[in-house]
Amino acid sequence: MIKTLILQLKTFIQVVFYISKGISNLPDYQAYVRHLKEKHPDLTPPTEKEFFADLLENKYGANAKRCC
Amino acid sequence: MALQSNVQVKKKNPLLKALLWIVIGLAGGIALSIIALQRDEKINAIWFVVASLCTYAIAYRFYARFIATKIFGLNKNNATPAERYSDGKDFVPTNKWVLYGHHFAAIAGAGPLVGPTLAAQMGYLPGTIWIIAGAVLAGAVQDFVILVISMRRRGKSLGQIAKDEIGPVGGILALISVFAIMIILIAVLALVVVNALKSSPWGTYTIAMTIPIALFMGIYTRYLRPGRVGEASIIGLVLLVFALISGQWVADSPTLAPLFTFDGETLAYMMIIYGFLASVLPVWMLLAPRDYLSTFLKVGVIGMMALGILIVLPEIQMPALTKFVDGTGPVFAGKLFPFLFITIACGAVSGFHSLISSGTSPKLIANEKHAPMVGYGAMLTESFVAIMALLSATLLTPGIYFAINSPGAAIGPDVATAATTISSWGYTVSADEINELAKNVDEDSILSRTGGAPSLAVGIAQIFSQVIGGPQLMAFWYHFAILFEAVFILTTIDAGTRVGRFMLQDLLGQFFKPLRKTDSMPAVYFTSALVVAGWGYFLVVGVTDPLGGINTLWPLFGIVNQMLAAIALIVATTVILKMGKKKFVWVTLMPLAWLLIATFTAAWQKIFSDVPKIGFLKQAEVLKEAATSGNLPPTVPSIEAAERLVFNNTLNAYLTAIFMLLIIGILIDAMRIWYKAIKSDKPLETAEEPFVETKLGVRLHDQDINITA
Repeated sequence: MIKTLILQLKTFIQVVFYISKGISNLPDYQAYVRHLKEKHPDLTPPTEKEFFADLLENKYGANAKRCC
Repeated sequence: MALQSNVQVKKKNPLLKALLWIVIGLAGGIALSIIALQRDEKINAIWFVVASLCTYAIAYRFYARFIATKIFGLNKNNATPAERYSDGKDFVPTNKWVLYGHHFAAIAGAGPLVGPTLAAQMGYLPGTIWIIAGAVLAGAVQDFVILVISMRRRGKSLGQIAKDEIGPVGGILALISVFAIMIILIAVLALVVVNALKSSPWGTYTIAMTIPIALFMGIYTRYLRPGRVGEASIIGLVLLVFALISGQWVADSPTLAPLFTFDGETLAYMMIIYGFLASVLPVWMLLAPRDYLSTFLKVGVIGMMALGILIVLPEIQMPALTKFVDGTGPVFAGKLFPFLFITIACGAVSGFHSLISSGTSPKLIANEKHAPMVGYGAMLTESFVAIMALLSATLLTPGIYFAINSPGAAIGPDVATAATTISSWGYTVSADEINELAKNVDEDSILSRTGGAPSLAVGIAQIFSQVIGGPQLMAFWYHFAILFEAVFILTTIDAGTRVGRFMLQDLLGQFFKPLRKTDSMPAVYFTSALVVAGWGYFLVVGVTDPLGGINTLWPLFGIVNQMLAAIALIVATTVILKMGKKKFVWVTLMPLAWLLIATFTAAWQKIFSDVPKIGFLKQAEVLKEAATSGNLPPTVPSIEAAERLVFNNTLNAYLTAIFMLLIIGILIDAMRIWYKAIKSDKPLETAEEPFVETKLGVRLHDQDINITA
């Protein structure tokens, strides 16, 4: 009973994080690693820190868009 | 047989559906006519909510679907860029609702909040009609159509699409326009913040605190727990609430309060230095963490506003039309046509959205069929935000509204004169009422706090305090609303300065190669300083302007923003014609024609009008005479100030003229293609990518939901 409750809570939190990450347009590190393993098995995935640094550079770099 | 048809009825139930739409249509129609015709009694906010939501529903169900099927033939089997170029980062098939949320958060900013607040000086009716009709027929159409066009072209940007579909000249002109609008936009938004923080220690302290909070979040996500944005945001939000609460202690402390009390000019220079630093510092330090906070605040507060309005259901105090439709209003100068359509830009139609629609969203969309929801739907939501802002402004008594939003030059420097002046316009207000409100929100004065933010904050505080906390919490909610607006405006200033810097590096780099290097410190410092000087100039001019700055800068911003929308619609019209859909070209041609008429009339009047408050050249002439005769108006302190104003007004006139020429240039360049497309019997070749069958199908749906894997 408590176990399922905890599991449900965990899923709920994950959903909230998924949605807020999506709204802020922050790609998921795990998903990226999965994508690399699946499509480009020869490449070594970056560490989470590298991935995140690269992502910010891209997000606020030359192609960043901002609205009024 | 009978069973089968039974099942079909159950599945579709066309009669019930038709009935539902008839009911929605009737409800919207009734609500709209109540808004339009009610004159003697006060009208309740619920009618605005019903009228707008019903209109949006019908437009979304019928008009967006019409555009989707008849013009573009959106096909659920055609693979989107997110699938074709899937890279796990930039191109990721994203859940429809999440993408809708992202797109909305990216397009919504201070624009839909400030514009309707200023437009309320003409009464609630003109603004309401333009916000609803403009969004449904122009704004949402633009956002949606550009999204689809970009989605079918690998998520290319508007400038790139203009180059591909019209030609290199159109492309370069579009790029220059984007840069220009960026400069004006940052200046006017910075001015809104300056006016909100002027001699307000509570507000200034709270906003100042967001800098160390953002720095801490930056270090947290970079070094302590790399990439844990969620955790950092929660900590950041908690600290933000603490900053808000402790702001009151600062404001009430006789030793601390003076440390955070500044006049407009000082705040403007602080803002300029801050903008420069934010542009040269690494993004993880300041910009990115502030962006997370502002996204959550934005979505959260807008949701709270909607709930608050639904719970409180306030009565509207402003009349349907005020006498200021004749153009003599104190908040902004100029008649209803064209200036209402310039003042309310975002919320009805905003050119800036076309940059988002051709930015990240087309790279994330999972299926073509999601495009109406993301492009059209998110704009309808923004339009609703504009309606809520209009309600927040019109639920104030008109006297209070004008006390907050009129510049000192129009109502006088002190509360007593202001109360007499405003009452003489027919909107009775007493000095006591104005003082009482200032005391309730814990500010020294609420007089002439132009720019829309303070007025909106008073409206929000009135609604929220009726739901939670009562009058005691009014001051808290007021500063909460100021914080909410200032945080995301500052994010726009940070990011906008950076984007402007990159554009300039790219542009100037064509003449002098070393400037292009984004990792070269001298190049970065030099171009950042140029961009900051650009908007900083307009900001300082706005702060020192005797008419209050917003009066000049907001129309200028509105004109450029609507002109950018015109560019987007010119590009869209070109693509539709090239696709051989002549029959349906009115979908973009109609809003385009309206925007061109409104912006060109407004721009023409801003340059050549004989009324000094409207026409830049006339204003320059009047001030020049005053400077030579030495007979200065009371709001201009010195001859040098008058001479500066002459220069500024002349510069504004030239700028407006350049914008007009830019649009004419793009239009002529596009018309060349239009002529070719109309003459041709078959569709012309476009840059659209050929059809590729999607392989995502049902699997995508599983992946979407299965986030725990």
